[in-house]
Amino acid sequence: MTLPCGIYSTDYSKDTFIIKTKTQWALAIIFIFLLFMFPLYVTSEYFLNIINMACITLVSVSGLNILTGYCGQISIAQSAFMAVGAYASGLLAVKLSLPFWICLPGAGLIAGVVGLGFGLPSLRLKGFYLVMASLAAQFIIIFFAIHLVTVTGGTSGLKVPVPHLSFIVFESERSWYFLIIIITCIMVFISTGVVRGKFGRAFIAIRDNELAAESMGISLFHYKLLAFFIGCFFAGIAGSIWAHYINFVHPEQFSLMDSIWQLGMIIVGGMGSITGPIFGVLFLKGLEIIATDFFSPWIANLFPSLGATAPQAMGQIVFGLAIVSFLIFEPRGIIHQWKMLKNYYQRWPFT
Amino acid sequence: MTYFFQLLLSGIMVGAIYGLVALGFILIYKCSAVFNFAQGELLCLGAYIFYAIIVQTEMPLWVGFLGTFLFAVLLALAIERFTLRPMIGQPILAIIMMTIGLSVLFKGILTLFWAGGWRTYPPFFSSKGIYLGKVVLSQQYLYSFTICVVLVFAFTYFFRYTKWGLAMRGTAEGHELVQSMGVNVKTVFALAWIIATVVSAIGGILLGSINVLNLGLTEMVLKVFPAVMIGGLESIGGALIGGVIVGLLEYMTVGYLGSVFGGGIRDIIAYIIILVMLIVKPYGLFGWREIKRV
Amino acid sequence: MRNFGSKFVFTASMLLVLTTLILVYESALAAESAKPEEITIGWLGDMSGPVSSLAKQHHMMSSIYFDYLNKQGGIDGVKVKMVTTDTHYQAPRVISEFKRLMMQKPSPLAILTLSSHDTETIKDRYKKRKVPAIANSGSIPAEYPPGWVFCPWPTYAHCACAFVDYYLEKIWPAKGMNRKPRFAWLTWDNAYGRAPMILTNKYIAKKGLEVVATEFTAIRAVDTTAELMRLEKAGADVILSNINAGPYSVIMKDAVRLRLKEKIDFYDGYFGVGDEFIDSAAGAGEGLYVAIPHEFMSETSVPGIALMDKLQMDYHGKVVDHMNCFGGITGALLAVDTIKAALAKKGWPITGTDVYEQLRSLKDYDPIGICPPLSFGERRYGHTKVYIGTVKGNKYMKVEPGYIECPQLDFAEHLKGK
Repeated sequence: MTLPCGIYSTDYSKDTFIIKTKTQWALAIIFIFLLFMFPLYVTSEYFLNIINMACITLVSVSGLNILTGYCGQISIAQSAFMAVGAYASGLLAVKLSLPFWICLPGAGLIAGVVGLGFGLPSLRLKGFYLVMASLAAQFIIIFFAIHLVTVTGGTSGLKVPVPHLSFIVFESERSWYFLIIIITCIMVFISTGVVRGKFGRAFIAIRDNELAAESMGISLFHYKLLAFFIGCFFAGIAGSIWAHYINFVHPEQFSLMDSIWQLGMIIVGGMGSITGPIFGVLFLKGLEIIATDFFSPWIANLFPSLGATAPQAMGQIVFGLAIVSFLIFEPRGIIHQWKMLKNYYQRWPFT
Repeated sequence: MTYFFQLLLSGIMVGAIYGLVALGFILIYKCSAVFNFAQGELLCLGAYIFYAIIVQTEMPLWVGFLGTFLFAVLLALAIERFTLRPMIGQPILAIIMMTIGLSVLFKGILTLFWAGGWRTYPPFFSSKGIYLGKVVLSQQYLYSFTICVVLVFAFTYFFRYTKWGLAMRGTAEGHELVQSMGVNVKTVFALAWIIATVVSAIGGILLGSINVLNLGLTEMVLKVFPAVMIGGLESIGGALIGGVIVGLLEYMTVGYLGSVFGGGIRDIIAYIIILVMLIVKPYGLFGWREIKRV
Repeated sequence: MRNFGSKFVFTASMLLVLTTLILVYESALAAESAKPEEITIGWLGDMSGPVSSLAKQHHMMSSIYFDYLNKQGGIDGVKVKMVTTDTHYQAPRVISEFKRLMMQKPSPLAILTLSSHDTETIKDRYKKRKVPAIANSGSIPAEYPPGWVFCPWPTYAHCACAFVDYYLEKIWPAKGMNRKPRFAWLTWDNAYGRAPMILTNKYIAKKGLEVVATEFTAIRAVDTTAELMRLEKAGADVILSNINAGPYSVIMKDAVRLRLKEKIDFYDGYFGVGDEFIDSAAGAGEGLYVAIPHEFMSETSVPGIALMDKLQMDYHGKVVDHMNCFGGITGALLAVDTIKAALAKKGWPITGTDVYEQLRSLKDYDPIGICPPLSFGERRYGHTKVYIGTVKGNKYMKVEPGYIECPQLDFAEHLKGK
C-alpha cells in the first residue's frame, strides 16, 4: 500500500506491518465492523446463503492462488482436494464424534497430506504434463470417493451433523455467516502471512525461474511440496466447512467443472496477489447469478424453445466469455484495474 | 479364444477413434505449441452442426458435409485470429486457461441449442455387422478405422514431404527463425487450426453415427490425453498408436479384470495410464525429449 | 498536499451507493412475493442438467394442471400459485433454491420435487421448515427413516424385484432351459443407477439365484461394447439396469450389434421409459422389459389419462409427452386433494403441518385412475403395484393386462449395505 507523504517507517519491524497508518487502521476496523453488521441489515436467507457459499469458495481459491498464482504449479484438482477435506471432516465428526473445532483443522491437515502425495509429480513435471497429473488426481480421488463405499458411503453420500458451540447450534444462515466470515478472515490473514514471508518469496522465485531459484539455494523439493501442502490445506478447510454447512457430502458435488471455475477465478481476479481471489470469486459468482437468474428468463422469453436449458448454458457461456475476454484484454486480472483505481484515488489530483 | 479376439478387434476399432481425436490435438500442438483443451467441443460442434443441417433443416447429405466443413474452417479462423493470436508469448497457464475457457464457452453454446435429447443421424452405414467367424465387426467402426489410418498416413506424408508441412514443423520449433526464411507464421497457424478442426468435425460425425449423438462427445477429450501421453506430443503416428493402445487397454481391463474391481474400471483406467506414463516416460514412446538450455 | 475534502465526499458517496444497491436488491427479493389470498405450492427440480428432459415434462404437467384448476376456481375459491425453481443438479443450489421457496409469501404448503440425489441433502430441512415434499421418484434414503418426503410410486427396488418375480414365473419357464437363470447388472455408477441394487441382490439371493456380474457405464457413454461382452462371458441371462431412456438406447444398439438380443433379456427401471428411448433406439429396443407403476398413456378410457390427454391438447395442441408427465399430474393431484381434505377437517388457515398430517393418514386415495389407490401411514411410498411392459413395434405395451404386486422389502437392509 502506498503511504501518504510525510509518513515513513522508522525501523525495520515497523516496515513489516500490514497496517501502517492510523487511517488504515480506521478503515480496517470499519470494514470488519460492517462485515459483522451485514446480516443484521440484510435478512434475506437466500442472499446470505450465496455469500456463505462464496466465502467457502474464497478459502479454497486463496489456497489455489498460493499454489498456482505464487508458486506456478498449475493444479486442476482443487475441487477434489475439497472433497478430501469434506469427507475427512465428515468422517471425523461421524465416526470419531469429534466436535467441529477439531474436525476443521484436522480435515485441513489430512487434505494437505493427500496434496503432498499428489504434489510429487510436480518435482519432475512442468506445464502441460503437470496439468495432466492433476487431472488424473481429480478423477482418481473422486473414483475412490465413489468406490470406497464402507468408508465414504459411496453414492449414498455421507450425512454430517450440525456443529455446536456450547449452547449455540449453527443451523441458520445467519449463525453460519458469522462463523464463515471469521474463518475466511483468518484464512486470508494466514495466506497474507505466507506470501509476505520467506515462503512467499521462495514460491515466487520458483515460479519465475526454477533453475535460478535452485542455484540460489531454494530447495525445489521442499518448497514445491510445501506449496502443495498449503494449497490443499486451504482446500481441506473449505471442504470441511462445506460438509458441516450442507450437512451432506456426495461425490457428485466435486466435479472437474468446479476445479475449472476455481482456476478461472484466480485468472480473472489476478494471480499473485492476496485480494485477487476475492475479486475473482465475487466477479464470477456475481456474473453467474446474473446470468442464470436475470439473463436466462430474458433469453427464455426471446427464444422459448431454448428456455429450459438456458440457465445452465448461460452460466457456462458467461464463464467462458469472461475467461477468454480477460485473457485477451486484461491478463493481469481485475486486481490490476483495482490497483490502478487506487493509485488514481490516492494521488489525486496529480494523476 | 473368440472372446479374446472380439475384445482385441473392438478395442482396436474404438482405439482408432480415440486416435483420430488425438490426431487433431497433436496437429495443433505440432504447429502452434498450444494444448487444445477444447478438442472435445470442436468434435461435438462438428457433429451437431452436421445434425442440424441434415436433420433439423433436412438438406441432402452432401450439403451437410460441405456445410460442416465450411463451419469448421470459419470457426478455426475465428479461434486462431481472435483468441490465440493475443496469447503468443504468454505463459503456459494463460494458454491452457484460454483453451479451457473456450471449451466451457462451446459447451455452453452446445447446451443452449441442443441440450437434453439424444439424437440420431439417419443411418448412412448399415447396422449389420461383418462376421469373421464368430467375431463381429460393426461397419461404422470399420469405416472409422479406415478413415483414421488414411488420415494418419496423409498427414505424415504432408508433414514430411510437402512445403507447407515443413513450414509447420519449422514454426513449431521457432517463430523468428522460420519468419526469417520467409514463412508467414500467421498463415501457418491458421492452416494448422483449420486442418485440426476439420479433422475433429470428421471425427465427430463418425462418432455420432456409431450410436447416438449426445453431449458426452465432449468428454472424448479426456480419452485424448492418455493417448497423447503414450504416443508422445510430437508424433502423428504416435497419436494413432496411442489411441489404439488406450482402446485395447480399456477393453482388456474390462474384459478380464472387470470382476476383480467390481465393475466401473473402464473410465478410470485412462487416468491410471496417464499417471503411470507421467512417472515412467513423460515424453511418451515416440515424443521428443525437451532439452532446455539455460 | 491532497484535497482531503473531495476525497471524503467521494468515499462517502461510494459507500452510500453500495448500501443503496444492497438495500434495493434486498427489497427486490422481498417484493417478489407479496399477495395473500393465494396458496403457494413449490416446484423444486433440475430444469437444466442431465435429467432436464424428465424435469421439463414433470413441470409442464403440474403447471398446466394448476392452471386448469385455477380456471375452475382453485381450491375453495383460493387460487394456487406454483413457484418454480431450478436446482441445476448442484447440491448448493438445492439449498439456496429451497430457501428461496421458503421465502415466498404465503409460505408453501407443499413442494413438488423431482427428487434426484439432492432430496437426501434437504430431507431434514423439509421436516425443520415444516413443509411436506411430494417426490417423483422413490429413493430409499429419502423415504427411510420416514420423514416429510412422500412418493406416490413404489421404489426402484420394488419394481426391479417385481420384475424378477415375473421373470421367474412367466418368462424363464417359457424358454425351456433346465437350469436357473443368471442375473447381471449394467447400470450407472451413481446414486440413481445403484438405487435398486442392494435390495434386489438380496432378493435374488433369497430365491437361491445368483448375480454373476456387475458392470457400470459412464453416464454419457458412447460405447458399451466392452461391458456387454464381459456380461455375456459371465453367462448372464438377464441384464438389469436403472438408467434413463436416452443412454439406454446406446446399450440396446450395442446389444443388437453383438447379437446378444436373442440370448439375453433386458430390463430397465421406470425412468428408462420414454419417447426419447423409442426415437434414439430406432428399432433396437424391441423386447425390452420395463416395470411401470402407473397406467399407460394408451388407456384413454381411464378418466385420469383422458384428463392428461385433454390438458395437453388444450395447452399444446397435441399430446407432447407419453410417459414422463405422470409424476407431474399425480403429485399435483395429491397435493391439491390433500389440501382440500385438510380444509374440510380444519378450515383456513392451513399450514404445511396440516398437509403433512393429512398425507400421513391418507388411505386408498384414488388419483382418478392414473395409478392404484395410494395409502401412506408409516411408509412413504403410495402403492406397491406395477405393470410389466415391453417394447413392441416401437410402442410400449403391457405384457399382462393387470397390475403385479411387488414383494415386501425391508428398507433397513438397504441402509445396512451389501
